[in-house]
Amino acid sequence: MDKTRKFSQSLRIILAITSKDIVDAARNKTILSLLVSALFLSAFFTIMPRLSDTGTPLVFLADAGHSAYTSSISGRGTLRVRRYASVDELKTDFIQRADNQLALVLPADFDQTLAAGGIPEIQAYALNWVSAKILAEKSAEIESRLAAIVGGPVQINLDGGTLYMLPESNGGFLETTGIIIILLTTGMLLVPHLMLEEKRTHTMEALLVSPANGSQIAVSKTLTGMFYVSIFAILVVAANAYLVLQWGLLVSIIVLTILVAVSIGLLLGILIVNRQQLTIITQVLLIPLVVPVLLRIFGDLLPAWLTNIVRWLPPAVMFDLLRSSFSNHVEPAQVLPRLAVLVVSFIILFGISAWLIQRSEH
Amino acid sequence: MPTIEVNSLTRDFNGHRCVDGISFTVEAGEIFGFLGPNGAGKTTTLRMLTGQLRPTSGKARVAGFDVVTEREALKPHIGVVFEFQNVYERLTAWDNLTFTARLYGVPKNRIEQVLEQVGLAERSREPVKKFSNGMKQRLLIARALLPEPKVLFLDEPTRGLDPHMARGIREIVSTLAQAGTTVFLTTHYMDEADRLCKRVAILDLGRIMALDTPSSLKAAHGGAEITLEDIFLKLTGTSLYRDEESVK
Repeated sequence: MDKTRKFSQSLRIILAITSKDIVDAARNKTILSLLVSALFLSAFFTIMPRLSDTGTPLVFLADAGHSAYTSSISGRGTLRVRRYASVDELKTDFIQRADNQLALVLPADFDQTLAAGGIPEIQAYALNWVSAKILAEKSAEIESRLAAIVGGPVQINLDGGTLYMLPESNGGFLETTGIIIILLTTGMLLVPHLMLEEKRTHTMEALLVSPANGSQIAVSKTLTGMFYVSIFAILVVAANAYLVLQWGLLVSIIVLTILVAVSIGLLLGILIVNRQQLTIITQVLLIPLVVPVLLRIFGDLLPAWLTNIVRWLPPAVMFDLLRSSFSNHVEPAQVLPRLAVLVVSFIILFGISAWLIQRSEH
Repeated sequence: MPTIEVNSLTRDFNGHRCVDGISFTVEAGEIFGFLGPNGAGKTTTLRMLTGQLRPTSGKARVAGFDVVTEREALKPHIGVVFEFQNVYERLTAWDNLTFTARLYGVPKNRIEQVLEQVGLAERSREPVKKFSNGMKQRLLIARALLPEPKVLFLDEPTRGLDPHMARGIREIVSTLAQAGTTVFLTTHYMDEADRLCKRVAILDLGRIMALDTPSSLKAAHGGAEITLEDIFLKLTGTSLYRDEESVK
């Protein structure tokens, strides 16, 4: 058989199994419950950051003219205040720590303007992803609270106040963690379920006496997994699109994360023989997948050598890359080695699966 | 030239010999019965002949293809009905067959033909989970027939079916053989083997204890009063005794 014919036959078989799996999975209660769980998880990580933004507003404050009002602003409990000695210090820390808060710089003539009965203009800064609506609401609220403290109206000016996150900043932590956990768990659970279903119903035997071979079956399960995980990826990315500045980078990370997740699932599907095993192993496996993400945030608590190891583990790499896509400044030297880690992880995981399949066929 | 040629086929599992150097041939259009008690090695032999399992030693050719070295080329020429009803129950009969047709690259009009052949045309748009066991068995046969195989392997195709359904399946098998399809049939029902098969092989402890036409076997073991079941029990009785011993 010539190569072209062999390729088209292989493609036909892969597409046949994939389309059957996509239709069958949509009617499979176990797989549907898995997808619904992922949907809830996705909603949780989307809504959670908004829920945490309640109560007394937090402001980052620099006082250029050493205003007499600064201690009143900080001490009354009307606002939660982080104070900085200079504007540069304020900006650096704000970019590092802020989510959707405002940074304020009191003008040098703040006290004098108030004393003269004028309205002082306060320069404000916000991160790029905060919507105009939220900014307007926050500005109005803080203006009113400040007016109550200083005894006169103030005006917050946001013109030219957009700041951009750095890759190493903490902003978007929950959103980033959510995207990674949803993609990894859906991929690594869905594919083994598809494989286990074929094993449980003995349809795998029927497939293996048909013209399909083990490798084609594995590729088909991977494609079905990718189809469903991609739907979730679109949903979680759409929900967090306001964070993204580097769309090309984001798409690359999402595709590679899906490939890694699905290839973990494929490996589990080959090795595992029943659902009980799958439940136990995935629960154990979630620890090394989630912990590196958390350790990236609490890296200050770890010894330097451990931090250096953790940062190159695939989940930590996904985390760092995703946050780089939220920044307006991306260094290729930072991003490319991390993308390479994900590519190599996928090749290793898929290669092991392919080897196991070939070994079982002979 | 025989459609199935088996020479000294052997298969070991964990040091235990399941199939022990069996040899036989099956001619084109023949229904060949492969009989034996549980654990005799019937399904292991069927799995080797369909390329699912590599023999420990020996050779086998099916439809002209070596079952080990030409396994992929063999696949489009065989149909297999397994001992379990392994169909996609959430899909309709039509969808199950459409999927198989796409795997084999078979045109869609062939689906209608096989559905007519097994008498499922009117129920083809229903999900398989609503089917009775007999209907599922017919669907399995339809699936196996889809690529128009030269050899059809049937692993206990009437097990658990009521007499009406079982007769329906036997009629389909007879018709297929008359049309030239070679049928390799494993069964526990001696009466079924007697009526359907041109020749039968009785297997025990992985070895062929007898191989001939049912009438010749009866003649050799005592004449018209003897049934195939009597011969089967006589030839495989030792394994039953050994099973009891092993339980003790």
